[in-house]
Order: sequence, then structure tokens, then C-alpha cells
Amino acid sequence: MKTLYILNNPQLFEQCTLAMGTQDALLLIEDAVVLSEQQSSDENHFVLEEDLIARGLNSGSSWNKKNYNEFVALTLEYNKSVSWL
Amino acid sequence: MSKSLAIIFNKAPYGNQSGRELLDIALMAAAFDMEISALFIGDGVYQLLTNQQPDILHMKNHSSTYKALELYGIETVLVSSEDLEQRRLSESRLMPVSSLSNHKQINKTIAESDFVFML
Repeated sequence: MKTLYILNNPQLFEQCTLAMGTQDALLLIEDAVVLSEQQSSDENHFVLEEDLIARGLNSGSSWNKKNYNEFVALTLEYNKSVSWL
Repeated sequence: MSKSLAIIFNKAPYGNQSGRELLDIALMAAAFDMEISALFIGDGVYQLLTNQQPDILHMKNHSSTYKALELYGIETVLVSSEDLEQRRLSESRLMPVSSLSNHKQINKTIAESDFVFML
């Protein structure tokens, strides 16, 4: 089962990535988008573009960016999504 | 075929209500014969400590309700041994309601569940 993990709390990055399987994906939203400046990314790591732009972080990040519509499309590619709180 | 729900406790008790509320949700979902697993990771392991006395904070002690998990047919109650060790907690300090597990097994349960819920 492929799971999309959605993280909005930067403090829980390690705990969340620890739970993820190799097939799973991670999407950073809200405050957690700051992590895209600090953490290296791989191909199943995404960050929500609108939250980056809002925070003036849009240029620096090497993470794959997704806007809201692409976020919705992303959720359809996975069996379930988990909001890691 | 009944759906499976993994409920993840990752916060210590009494600083917020997430432990108590997740417990209520687990018991309710079990009553709707969903297959429930209760997973304790990170600071969530503190939820299972014995002799909690929150009345000193004028708060309700929800920890005794963890004994109801088994009564409601929730057999998969796993606590992460790595996270206990990291916090220098021995299993003997926990209520006898969970079985010692590890991240690999807990992650497998999360992956295989139809739904995963946290608060």
C-alpha cells in the first residue's frame, strides 16, 4: 500500500520519515515547508508551492514543488494519506 | 470485509487531550467492528506509564481506560522498544496493556492499515 504522508509540523520531520516506507511519499505543507530549505530531498519528497511563496521561500528549495491542484492529484496516486500530527 | 484503522499515539499525556481523545476514538471504532491497532511511538510511550496522578492538575485520569482496549477486542497494541530505550523507560513501568514491538513492525502495521489517524 503506497501512502502519502502530509507533514505540517517541522519538529516531527524525523519521526514522520522514520515511519515512511520506501514506496511512500512525503508532502511538506504549512510551517513544515521551511524544511525544504534545510533537508536534502529525493524523488518522493514534495513541498506545497503556495506555502513556500507565502513565506518568501520559493527560490531556494530543491524539493519538487506541487501547487494545490497538483496536491489533489498527488493524493490520488496513493492508497491512503496520513496527516502526521 | 471490515476496514482496518491504525491509531498512533505520539504525544505525552495531559499537556494536550490527544491521548484521551484517540483512546475514545479507538473504543468507538472498535464498537463498529473495525480492526483497530493502537500504536505508541515517540513521547506517546508515556501514555502507558503506571501511577499517573493527574488529579493534582484537576484533570481526569484517562490512563486507566487503556485497560479497556483489550475488553473492546483491540488486540494489536504495540509500543516501540526503541522509543522506550531512548527515554530510558523499562517495560516494567508500563501498564500491562501493550506488547513490546519495534519500528519495523509498527511501520508495517501503519502501511497495511486502510486508515491511519493521529491527533
